[in-house]
Amino acid sequence: MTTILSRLNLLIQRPFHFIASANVSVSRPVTPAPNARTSNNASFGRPVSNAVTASASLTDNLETNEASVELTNLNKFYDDFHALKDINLTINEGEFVSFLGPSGCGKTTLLRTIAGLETCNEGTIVLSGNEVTHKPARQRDFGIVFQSYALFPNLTVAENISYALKSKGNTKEERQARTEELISLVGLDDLSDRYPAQLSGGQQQRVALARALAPKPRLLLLDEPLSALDAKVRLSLRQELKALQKKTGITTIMVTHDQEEALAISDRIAVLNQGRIEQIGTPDEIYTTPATEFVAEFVGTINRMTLPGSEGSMIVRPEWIEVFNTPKENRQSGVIEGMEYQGATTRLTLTVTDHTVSEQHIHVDIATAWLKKSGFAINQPVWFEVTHQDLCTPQTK
Amino acid sequence: MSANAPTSHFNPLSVLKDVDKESIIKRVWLLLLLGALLTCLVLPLYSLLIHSVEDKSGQFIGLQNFINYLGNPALTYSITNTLTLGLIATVIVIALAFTTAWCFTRTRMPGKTLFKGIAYIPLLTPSLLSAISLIYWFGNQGVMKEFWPFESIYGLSGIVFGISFWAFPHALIILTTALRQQDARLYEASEVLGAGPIRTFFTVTLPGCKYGLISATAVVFTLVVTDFGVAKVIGGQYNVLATDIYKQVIGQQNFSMGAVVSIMLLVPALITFVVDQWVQRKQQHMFDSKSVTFKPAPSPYRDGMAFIFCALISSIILAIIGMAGYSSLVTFWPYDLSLSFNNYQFEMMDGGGWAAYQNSLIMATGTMILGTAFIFLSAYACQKIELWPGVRKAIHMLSVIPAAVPGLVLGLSYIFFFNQVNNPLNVIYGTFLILMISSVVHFLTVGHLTMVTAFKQLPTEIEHVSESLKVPFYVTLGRVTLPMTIPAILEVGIYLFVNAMTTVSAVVFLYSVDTMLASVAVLNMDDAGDTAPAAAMAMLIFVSALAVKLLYSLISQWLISRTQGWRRR
Repeated sequence: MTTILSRLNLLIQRPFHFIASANVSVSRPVTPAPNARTSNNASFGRPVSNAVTASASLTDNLETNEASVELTNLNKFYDDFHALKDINLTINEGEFVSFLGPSGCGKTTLLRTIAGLETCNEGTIVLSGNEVTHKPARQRDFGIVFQSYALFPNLTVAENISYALKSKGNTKEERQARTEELISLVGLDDLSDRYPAQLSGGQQQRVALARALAPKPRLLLLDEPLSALDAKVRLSLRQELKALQKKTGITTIMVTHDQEEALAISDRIAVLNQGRIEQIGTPDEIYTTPATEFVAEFVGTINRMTLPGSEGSMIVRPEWIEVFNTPKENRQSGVIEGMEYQGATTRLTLTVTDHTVSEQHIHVDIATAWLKKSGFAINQPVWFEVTHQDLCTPQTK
Repeated sequence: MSANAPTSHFNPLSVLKDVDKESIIKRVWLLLLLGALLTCLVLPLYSLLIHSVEDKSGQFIGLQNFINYLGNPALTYSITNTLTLGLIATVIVIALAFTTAWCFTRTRMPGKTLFKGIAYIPLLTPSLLSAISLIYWFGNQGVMKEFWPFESIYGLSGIVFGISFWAFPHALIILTTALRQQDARLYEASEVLGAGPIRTFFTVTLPGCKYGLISATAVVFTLVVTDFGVAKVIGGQYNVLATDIYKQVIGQQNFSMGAVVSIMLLVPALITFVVDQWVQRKQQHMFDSKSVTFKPAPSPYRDGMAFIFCALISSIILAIIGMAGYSSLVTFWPYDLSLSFNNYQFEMMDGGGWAAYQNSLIMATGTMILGTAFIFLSAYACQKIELWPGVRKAIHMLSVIPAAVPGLVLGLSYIFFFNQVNNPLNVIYGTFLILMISSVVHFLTVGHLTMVTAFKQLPTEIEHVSESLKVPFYVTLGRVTLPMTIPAILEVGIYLFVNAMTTVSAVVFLYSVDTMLASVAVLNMDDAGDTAPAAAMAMLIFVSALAVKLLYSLISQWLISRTQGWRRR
């Protein structure tokens, strides 16, 4: 009870109001130990330490308002199809985690299971220390945004956003203030009387976001929120989404199949494949030290090469290689077979002529400006060198 | 609340805690619907089945009734008659309706809107009207008696003509939809590949609407073999199953034999029902949101031919309606052709009088309100309540089945079920309520499917979002789902009203002295030889249905413009 009552009084910027020591409320069971939030660290919502001691009393209604998520041994079957396989994942308070994977990998199913829109056959889901595995969605505490926006078409922007506020028993003035606050938060100030059909896709998705945040949930679930938008809008909304998440500090889970999006926006990424989590890590960990072949292939482009001095095949990203007009020690020879112009960079496909390299073809990304300067052309013999050998990791399996 | 209790510890109360208020409401909702459908459809049909294996005193006699029935050539002759009638009328209706639908969708003939309006007129009339009108055209005292190409209008040919008039728009709706849904890109592809119009017709048009054709055939066949109004008025000595049921029950009070004939009539209706269901499932994959609507190019010859054809069809429809109207105004056919409203002085003759007309309005209005509410709630339950999939499937199945139950059969089964002394529900026997309930059930299928389609067009995420916002589902139902489906709700409402106004079949067994209906009065007056007043009453029903429909569409337009502003961009 304390949880709900206290939250009603809080503004959206609440993370900034809290100091670590006042973080525990009685309504929350023991596990896990609530994480401390250092004063302004909301921007990168990862907990710094677990050292928390709390002198909680019944009157103390302050607490962290972000949920943690603990998934233990989740398994889900659709008849014979094993949709989720032994999912174990802990998401910390205030963290932005993306579920990344190809279509059919189970990422949306996992999100919907957390939301309570799907049931799991085995395992437990714990939100902020409360087990909710078999609770219906309305008894969990989250906001959700769908790819299809799912706005109420017959209600205006303001009515959509204030939808959840009406039944909460707060006054009309409070509702109005909260709605206006959210409308300006997502930058739709002049559009509050429009109907969804009169808005662009990007605007509709902002409304959906504001609507999800209105009741101050502790967890935000985003199901491919940007996938239906134009490339340009997608990019700007992505940045706004991240800024908003930082500002509110709300624990966020986003499902996406777009690796670039996941890398750009997440604190951590869980890469899923065939119902299984292949790797969990920061964007950098995922990109530079992929744990499995699948992760390496799915996130970015890779070359598998045996390098001088290394044993076995190494994973080498195309931009870790440089190409030159002249031979030198440590440079291997090849011929430019193809060029793919990509704007800022150009991807070269080289046929390797050097017998010390096992791979027959490799991809190399070079700055287009450098390409123009050096005058590379198709069929031209070149020499290449892995200049960032320190980044390369051995190929796992 | 002990917050520190380990979550893995089994707490027997936790099971109850999860069954919160909303789940209880949803479960009660589903159970009430299922209960209503069991009471008003399954149990009555079950009593019918039971009575077919009992003798007059209620003793179980196995299949003896069926053996008696099949051993009586006078009765079994009706089976052949019914099938013959069904085949001939179905072929004629489908041929005419398909051509008309083709003209509506594949030509640019002038006057399309007018032709469409006229083509749907028969939907607003009781089936008896066309039969009465035909008697005035080609009957013993008919104005064009000598031009009727067959022996006599009283018999197979008359029934075929009358029932075709009435069944025509039903087929037309299905076929127009099927043709309109064809993807224009297929026609472009066909043209680009060098196929002529005839080859395109046989390779694109016809295969593209084959499911529509099968479905329309099934619907028309069922309508034709189960209707009894036309056969009763104009059938003469030509007995069909539907009139046999009526005669067994009303004429001879032989309820068991009535039940036996009913079951015979259920068989073809059930077969066509199964065919139609199978086809519906196939049809769903034909048209997707990317399909392009076909827009015919002008072609004077084709458009001219289409115009002539549709003008001919329209003239026939107008001639039938017109003759019914004219004959109802003629003072004393054929001796005094001066016009008067004498035949509309219903209080002067038997049959129920103006009270019957008033009753019909009450009954139709009640059916509309009761039925629309029920259909909305049941379709919502089937599409939107994510609980008890088995129960929801059962509700859906039971809502679709009435399409296969002929009205007469339903009415008779209601007698068996609701007129039992030991059934506490027998208090509704003889009241308006039983007429309304039977009409709702009789016309349930089309309404249910219309409403289900409307719900299917709403994104499923709406309920999920509102659940995540912790808004109770019934609030979202009232604030979002209901306002968004207003057009479909209005459509279901008027469909129920018009059909309740014009139907005879189920209610003919269920009306009482106090609840005499206009459509039944038409039947009774015609039976008593008061053909002109019968025509007058039939016209009254038609005019009322037409007026209500026009009024209703005005109200609908106003309501839709007020509530559907969000559809505009």
